[in-house]
Amino acid sequence: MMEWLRDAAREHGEALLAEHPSAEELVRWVEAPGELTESRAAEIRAHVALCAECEEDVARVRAVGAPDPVGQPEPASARGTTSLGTWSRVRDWLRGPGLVPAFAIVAAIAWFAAPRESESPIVREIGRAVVLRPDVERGAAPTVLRRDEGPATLTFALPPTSSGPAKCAVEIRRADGTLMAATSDVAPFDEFGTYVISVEPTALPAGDYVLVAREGEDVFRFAFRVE
Amino acid sequence: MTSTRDPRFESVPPAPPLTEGDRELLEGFLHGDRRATEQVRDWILAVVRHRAWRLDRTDDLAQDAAAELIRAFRAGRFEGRSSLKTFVQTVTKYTCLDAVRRARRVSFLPLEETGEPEPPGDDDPGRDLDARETARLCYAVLRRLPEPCRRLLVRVAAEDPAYEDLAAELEVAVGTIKSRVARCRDRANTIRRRLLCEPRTWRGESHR
Repeated sequence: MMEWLRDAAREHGEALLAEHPSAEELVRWVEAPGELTESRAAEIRAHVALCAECEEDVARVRAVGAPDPVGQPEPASARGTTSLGTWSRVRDWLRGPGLVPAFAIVAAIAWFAAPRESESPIVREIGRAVVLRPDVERGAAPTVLRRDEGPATLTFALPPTSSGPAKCAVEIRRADGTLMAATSDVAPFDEFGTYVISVEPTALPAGDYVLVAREGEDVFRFAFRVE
Repeated sequence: MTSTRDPRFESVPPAPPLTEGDRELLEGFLHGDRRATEQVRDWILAVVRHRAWRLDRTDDLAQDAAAELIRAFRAGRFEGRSSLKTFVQTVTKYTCLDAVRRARRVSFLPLEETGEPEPPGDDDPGRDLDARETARLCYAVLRRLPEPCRRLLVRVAAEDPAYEDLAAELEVAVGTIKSRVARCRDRANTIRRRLLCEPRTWRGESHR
């Protein structure tokens, strides 16, 4: 019975049952195999030998290019802002709990002046990254902000215009239309019309919300839920 | 938030000190310095726009990569083990790879499609495959089966256990095991015959 499977099953055994490695593992296996345990690297090697899809993925990663050598100096930035101080403080911030200084990925990305600043759910802190998508707007997969997870950094994209992305105004409204917060002059993050804004869910009662982005005459809505 | 090492990546020695250039660039990026932000964005775009991904929505991808990068920084996953540029581009690469995987559509056979008899050995179009191709085809077939079927077939094919032993192990009747094996085998054979007509899905790059 099933002669075609017998030899492969005896030779490869459990490898025939293996799931695909994650994209992150596969990229590391290609570019920094030393960062994987030897056993995991061996498992991935065996898997790629069996799996055409992962072999194709590996070929793509290799085609995109080899990484820079470790430790190669990078050009220093020409920033003129106040230093945070030591690297350890930066790392502490990155790993720290929710209360973080006003921060400026957001500053570079979205300068805004929220009304009722002290109570506003719109904050300058960097939080958990959350992508809002048009399909969320259509209700296919509501995005959930959990109040116990601290600030959330929302990113959303507006359709391209012939003149390129411009600043937009953002409102956060409850599902019944009640305005909870608003800000204007949110600058695009990139040339594709990506915008980023941080929200503190604990400043919002649990429920359904809509982020309303106005760009000129156009209005775009992105639904999310606070739990 | 605390940072714990991912056990999958645990074997490496301690990270070397971050270079001065990377430290400044990261601080600049985190402060919102325009040039640093543009530099990071350019690194992301250089990866996202590569033709190897064969993906159209580079704007969405750049957005996803930026979000993933913020997430990675916040989780303390940048330890200075590689340059900042390498880290940014690695994060972008696996973000792109996830998108490739989402876009890849594998059509699974409906579970109801069973019962086709196994063709006689002489008619098997896969009889001329070499060992590597056979193993790849087996994996592709198994990936398209439900997990219990997959495990049962590999076990039976590799060990050829007695049905009575399997039944005792799984605590079901012998007739149930026979029926399950037959059903899974028929599904596998059906899928295999289909895949033999679509070799691009399982042969791999070297055969294209």
